[in-house]
Amino acid sequence: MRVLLPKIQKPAAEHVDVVASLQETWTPQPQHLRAKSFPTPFSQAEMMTHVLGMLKLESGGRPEDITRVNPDIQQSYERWELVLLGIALGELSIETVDLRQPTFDNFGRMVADLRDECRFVTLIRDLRVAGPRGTALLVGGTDPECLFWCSPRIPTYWNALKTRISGHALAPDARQLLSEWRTVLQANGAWNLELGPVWQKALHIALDGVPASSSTAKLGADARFVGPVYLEVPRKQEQGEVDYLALYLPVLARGWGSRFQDLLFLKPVERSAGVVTLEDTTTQRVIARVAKSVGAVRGDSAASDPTSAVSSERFEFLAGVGRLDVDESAAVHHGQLHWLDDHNGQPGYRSLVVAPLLEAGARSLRRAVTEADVRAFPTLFPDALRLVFAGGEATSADEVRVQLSRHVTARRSVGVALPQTGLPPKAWRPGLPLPNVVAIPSVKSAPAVGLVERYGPDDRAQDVGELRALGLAMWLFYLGECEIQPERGLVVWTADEGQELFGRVRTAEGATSLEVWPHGLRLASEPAERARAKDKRATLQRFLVTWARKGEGENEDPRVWGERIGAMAALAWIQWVMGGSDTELRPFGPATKRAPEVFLLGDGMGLPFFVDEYARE
Amino acid sequence: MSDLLIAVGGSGQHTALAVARLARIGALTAPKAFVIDADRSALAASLESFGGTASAGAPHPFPGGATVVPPFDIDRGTTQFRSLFVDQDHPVEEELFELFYDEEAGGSGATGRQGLDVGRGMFGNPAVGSAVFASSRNKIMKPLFEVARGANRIFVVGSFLGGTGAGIIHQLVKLVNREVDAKVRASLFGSFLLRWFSLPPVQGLTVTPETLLASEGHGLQYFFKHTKFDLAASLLVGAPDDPGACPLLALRPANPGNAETINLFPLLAAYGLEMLPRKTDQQQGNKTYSLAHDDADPQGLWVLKQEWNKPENPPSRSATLAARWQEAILLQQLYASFLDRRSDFVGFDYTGSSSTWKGLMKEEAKKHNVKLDLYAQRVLEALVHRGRQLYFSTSWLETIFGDLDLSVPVGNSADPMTKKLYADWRHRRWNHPLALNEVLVAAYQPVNDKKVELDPKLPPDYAMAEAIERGILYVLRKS
Repeated sequence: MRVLLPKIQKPAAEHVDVVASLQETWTPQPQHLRAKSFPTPFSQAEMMTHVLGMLKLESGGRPEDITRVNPDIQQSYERWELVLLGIALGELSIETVDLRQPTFDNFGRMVADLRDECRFVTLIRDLRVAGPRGTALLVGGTDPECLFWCSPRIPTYWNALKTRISGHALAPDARQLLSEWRTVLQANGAWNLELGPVWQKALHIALDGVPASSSTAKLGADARFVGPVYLEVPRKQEQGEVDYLALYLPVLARGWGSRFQDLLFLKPVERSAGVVTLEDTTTQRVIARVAKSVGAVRGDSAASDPTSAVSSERFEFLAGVGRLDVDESAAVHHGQLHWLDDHNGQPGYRSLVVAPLLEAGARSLRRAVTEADVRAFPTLFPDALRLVFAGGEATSADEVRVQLSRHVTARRSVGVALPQTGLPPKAWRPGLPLPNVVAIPSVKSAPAVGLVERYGPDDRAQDVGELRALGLAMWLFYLGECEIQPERGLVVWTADEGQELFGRVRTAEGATSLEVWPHGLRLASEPAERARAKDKRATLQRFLVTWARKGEGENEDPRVWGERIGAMAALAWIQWVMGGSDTELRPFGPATKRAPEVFLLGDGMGLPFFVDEYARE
Repeated sequence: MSDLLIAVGGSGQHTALAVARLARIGALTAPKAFVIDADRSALAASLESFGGTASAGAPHPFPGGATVVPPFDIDRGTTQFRSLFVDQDHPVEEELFELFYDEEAGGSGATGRQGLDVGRGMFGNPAVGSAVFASSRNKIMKPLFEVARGANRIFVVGSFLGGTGAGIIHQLVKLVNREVDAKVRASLFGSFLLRWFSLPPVQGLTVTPETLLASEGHGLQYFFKHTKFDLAASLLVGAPDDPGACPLLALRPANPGNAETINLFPLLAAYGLEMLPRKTDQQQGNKTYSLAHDDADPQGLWVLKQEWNKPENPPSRSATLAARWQEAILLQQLYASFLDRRSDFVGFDYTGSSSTWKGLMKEEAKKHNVKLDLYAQRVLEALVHRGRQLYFSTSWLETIFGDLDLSVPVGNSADPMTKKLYADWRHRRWNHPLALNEVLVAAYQPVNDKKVELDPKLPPDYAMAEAIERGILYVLRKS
């Protein structure tokens, strides 16, 4: 017997036969593919999914352009890649809209009703090309399976876009950025070329030849996230199963990470429900806005629509929660305060924005979300949240959040993100490399005080010198040129008319903070002071001997922490004096055993100040 | 609770017609029907009127009839696809619409083109059909979902060819699945036709064999990706590429003017209503089935040998389609005999009439204040009407299978009286007096024994005719 189905030649044992799966022979040949034959309004997206599904991973080289055999097909890999790069280069913009808004009327409602996730559609526009109604030309939309699909009405547009994209000087940077974006997905188990959604296969082909990146520094420093886009990703541990995630796409924007850090100098103010503005306290001007709840999204009816069958919570990020609007023309005139944390009883960015967005993330992802989650999977979160934690540099897991001194924030460099974390003394041991930022534990729950030696990516490294400035003060004390004034909480350089080097500051939270004063910072960068220290080579050798083995005790002992901070500062100073390496300076001479003075940094944690044995004599 | 048949598009109406015909001869239990199509065609008229035979007295086999409903909001005053959605007050909506549909389907605000007129069909555009249907979900389709919620079992029929059925079926299944409770959802079935006819040379500008096959191919992709999981079980059936020696399987050209195209495949799709529920009884949910044909059986007797509507035709020993077809032929022949002996029937001039039908009809005529001879005349006319309905069914089967000796597929399980009368008819030994004196008189017994009762919902003369038919069937089936 044979089965009664077209294009199938299959014997059957009984009159009723089981058709287990889609038969390949049913699928039209490439020249007969036809988008409008898919039985859904999302027929163009279905066709793009089909076309991408035809791509072969192993073939190498560029896939054949299907429009050559089927000029009417409207969807092709080539167009998909143009849209991908167009967005990454900022040539195309994307805008996620809620189709339940009244402006989309009955067509919007119909589409939104078809699939829960389709209530939010991301529209892709070319801001440089006017559409028939005078608005930016609508060139496509996004879809969970294929990522992008193209408008069926603009056949002549694609060549023009191709000219712009293929000749774009930053195209290699955009590909590198996308490669890092892929790295984040891979690191989080959301990537599977064989069994995952077709958009991953297409992205893999688009990034052919781009070196795989283990770092995500560019994503943190030079990417602005747009979207989000609701996408299929492979489910961890379950082959062939998919999850849906609202993922943000990267747009190349050099220095955007540090630009965002500038925004943290603006005072966050909640002027209306659900919106936090970031304001210049000097001019009272609003520089940026962050939406932190669904109700805040302009024109959105999602939160208040009682007829909506879809829980708005599930799609909060899609609805615009976390959207960061920045007035690009405004320069940030900041005050002294860095507003990440609360000051004098006034809430900072962390309280007003970070905490609510973490809660929104938890609702969207249906699990608890912490800062560590944002660091680990930044592409799930809007810039307003992820850039708080995603600096341009890779940080170790041991690092903790730090508060920066006003001198560091005042000297920040445009285009380079300020550090957000530092290595606490309990995570460092003598013999290990010196960290760029040391986190000095504070009392209570306040963030640690950060002593910044340097920061920024290699090509834009910023030298600060707070750690070696502390070492300088300890060196001067070792020489007998410095004194501690316990009643004022200061260390002063007695040989230079009582110039203040560093001291304690009582903050609003009652935390005892260590701060290096400007004079100390300046001295720690002066060639003359370096030369003077270098001239005292034997003394410097004894200083090295004195500190060489300090801090070798228990990791959880605050007394040991104090010694380690001192050891790191002393080594930072010696390395700077010796020109970046201590290899030329060998430990020699007697070590000072007992510190006559201890500068208290916190409960049980003191910084010992030693004096040279010979100086005492 | 009754079953619900949802028929979509031209192929769906073909299947619905098959179901109605089979229900008329007792091979299927008649479901309620909801029929969706964009255009008013000869096919729709045939389905609605059951080939011009349905009337108040000889009602449509489907309870409540089979009204064809368009899948769009007729109150909107337009059937232009573009105008169903786009208006001047919502420019953003227009922009979105034009992102989803090209100018050929969706027209253009810039050029003033209106795109498809869906009132004339979807012209091979399932993407259009799906949107039109989805937009009418809370309007013209609302009654459908209300009926669906109260159904015992639901069968969705149509094809993946063309535009209307191919576009609507998938969204329809999804929305019905969403609207009904878990119990009904577990009895939601789909019986779908793939390519089952060839296109005539002229069929409009946009529909070609290639577009039909593209719709079928992409529809199947969508079906296996989404739709099949919303169905408890489904059947796919269509013409194989090579019919071999079996004329039943050959593609026949579609009838011009959207009139009915008769071949085996709508009958096979109707068999899905019989077969699919049995498959889920075996807990094989979500499976997709097809049917297979034995080349050694070019007459397709296997279809006629299948058991249909078991055990709904007591006391027959045979549940085969061939047995029901035989009975339908015999009923027609009996009614023809009654008509041939009109004066005997009306005047009760046949052996045993006084102790059987005359008394009952007299009682009924008196109850309805009608003269006895006039009442009997009307009963005879009603029987003739019923015979026309049966002919609408059996002539269709004969067109499909040709002139068959049905005693072959019925075989040894034949009911004795049916066997004898069928042999008489087949061998041209039919005896008109016997029809009255023996069969008609014998048919009174089950009525008298209350095995058959008069249907109070029917006009009295038609109720009597219906009772006579059931009485005859009882006699034909009795061992």
